[in-house]
Amino acid sequence: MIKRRFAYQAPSTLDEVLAALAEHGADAEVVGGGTWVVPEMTHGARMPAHVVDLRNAGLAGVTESNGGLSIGAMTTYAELANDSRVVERAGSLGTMAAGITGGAQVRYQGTVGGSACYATPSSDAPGALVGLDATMNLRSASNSRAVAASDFFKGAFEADLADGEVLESITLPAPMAGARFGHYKLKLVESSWPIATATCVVGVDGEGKITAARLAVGGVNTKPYVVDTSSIVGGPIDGGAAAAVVEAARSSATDPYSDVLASGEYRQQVSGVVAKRALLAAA
Amino acid sequence: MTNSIRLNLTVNGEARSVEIDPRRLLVEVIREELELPGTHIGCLTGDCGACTVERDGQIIKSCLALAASAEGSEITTIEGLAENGELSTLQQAFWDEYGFQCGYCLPGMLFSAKDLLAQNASPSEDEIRHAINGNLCRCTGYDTIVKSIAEAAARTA
Ligand SMILES: Cc1cc2nc3c(=O)[nH]c(=O)nc-3n(C[C@@H](O)[C@@H](O)[C@H](O)COP(=O)(O)OP(=O)(O)OC[C@H]3O[C@@H](n4cnc5c(N)ncnc54)[C@H](O)[C@@H]3O)c2cc1C
Ligand code: FES
Ligand code: FES
Repeated sequence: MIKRRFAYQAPSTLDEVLAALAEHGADAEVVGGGTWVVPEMTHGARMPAHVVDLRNAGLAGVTESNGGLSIGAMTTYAELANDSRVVERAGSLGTMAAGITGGAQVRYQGTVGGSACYATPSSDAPGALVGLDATMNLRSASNSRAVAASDFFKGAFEADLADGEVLESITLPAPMAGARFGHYKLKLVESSWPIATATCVVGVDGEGKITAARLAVGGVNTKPYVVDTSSIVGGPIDGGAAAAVVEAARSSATDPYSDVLASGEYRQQVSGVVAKRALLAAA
Repeated sequence: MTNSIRLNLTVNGEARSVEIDPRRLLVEVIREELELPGTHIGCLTGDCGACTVERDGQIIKSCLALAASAEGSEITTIEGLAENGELSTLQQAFWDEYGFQCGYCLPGMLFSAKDLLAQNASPSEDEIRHAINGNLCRCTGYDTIVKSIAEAAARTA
C-alpha cells in the first residue's frame, strides 16, 4: 500500500480536473495511465497529498483534424497501434506504440500523454512526436496554450508543463504529399528500454525523389532533436542519402544522455546509424 | 481508516462492493479485500506480470493501477478462467504440457496467452514469445509455456 495518505478524485470533466489542480498546486499529482506514477508512489518516490485521476475526463481517443490527427492525451499505446488513421497519417507513431515493451498490458495501460509529460530521455514517444512535428495542447484553469513538441521537451525529465497544467491533446499536421514513415529503435534485448530512437517522414514523388523530409532522433541527447535533412531533398532514398543522414545525426548529438543502459558517448556513436535505419525503413 | 472510499466492481461476473483506503493498489484489493489470492505480486513495478488481470476485456498489470481507478469496471481474475468448474482449454494445455512449475507466473501467463489467442487464433512461435514478453518466469525457461500456448491454439482450431 502507498504510504502517504492522499485524497483521491477522478473528476468527470477537464474543467473540474483543472480546478482541482489549481486548488492544490504542487501538492497534487496527475494520474494518466498510472504505469509510471503509481509505482513511484508505491515506492515512495512521489508522495502527493492529492491525486487527480484523468480517467473520466474524456481525454482519450483519436480524431481527424485538418487532414492530420488530434490525439487525446489519455490515448493508450494499444489504441494508437490499432488505429488505421494513425498508420496512414502518422505511421511512425503507430510503429512506436506497437514497440513499447512490458507486454500488451503496458500498451493497454500506458498513454502517450503520460510518456510525453514525464519526458524521460530514453522513452519512445518524445522522439516520435518531435519527428512528426506534433503540437502539444496544454490547459490550466486560467490559460490554454499550444507548444511545438520540439520546445515542449526541455531536457531530461523536464517538460514545458507548469503545476496546474494538463496536456489535453496532441495535434499532428497533415502529412506531406506522398508521405512515407520510418521508425527505428535500438535496444539491448527484447524487453529493455530504448538506447536511441529515430523517426522520419519523407515525401516522395512519382520518380522516387525526396520532396521533403523530417527526421528526429530520441534518446541520444537529453531531449529529442531534429536532424538537418536539407541535403537529401531532390535525390532518392539511397545509400548516399543514408550516409548524409548518418553524419548530420551524429554532428547534432552534442548533449548526449548517460544512464545505466548506455554512456552518452555510446549514444552519440550510434545516433547516426539509428537515424539511417529510420530513413531506410521509409524507403 | 479516515478517508476510505467505496469501490464497486464486477469481479468474475459477480457484483462486489468494498470499502477501501484510496492508497490501495488494485492487486492488493483483489488479494486481500476480495479474497482472490490467485493474482500474485512479484515486483510492484510493472515488470514481472504476475499481477495480470483483465479489466473491461483488456489485460492490465494490477500493481500499476490504483484500486480506486477501477471503479465501475469489470474484472476477471485467474479464479474466473475455469468454465463451470472445468479448466479452460488454455489452462488444460498448460497442465498437459508442463507449462508451469512453481506457478507463480501462471496467472499472468494465462492472461497474456488468452489476449494473444483472442486476436490471433494460430500464432507462430515468435508471436507467442512476443506476447509473453511482459511476463517473467523463473522456473520453466519458457519453452514449455510456448508449447502450452501453441497446443491450446491447436486444440481450439
Ligand atoms: C513494464 C514497463 C515497460 C515499459 N516499457 C516502456 C517502453 O518500452 N518505452 C517507453 O517509452 N516507456 C515504457 N514504459 C514507461 C511507461 O510507463 C510510459 O511509457 C507510459 O506511457 C506512461 O504513461 P502513463 O499514462 O502510464 O503515465 P502516468 O504514470 O499516469 O504519468 C506519468 C507522468 O505524467 C504525468 N501525466 C500523465 N498524464 C498527464 C497529462 N495528460 N497532463 C499532465 N501530466 C500528465 C503524471 O503526473 C506523471 O508525472 C514502461 C513501463 C513499464 C511499467
Ligand atoms: S507485481 Fe505487477 S508486474 Fe510484478
Ligand atoms: S513457473 Fe515458477 S515462475 Fe513460472
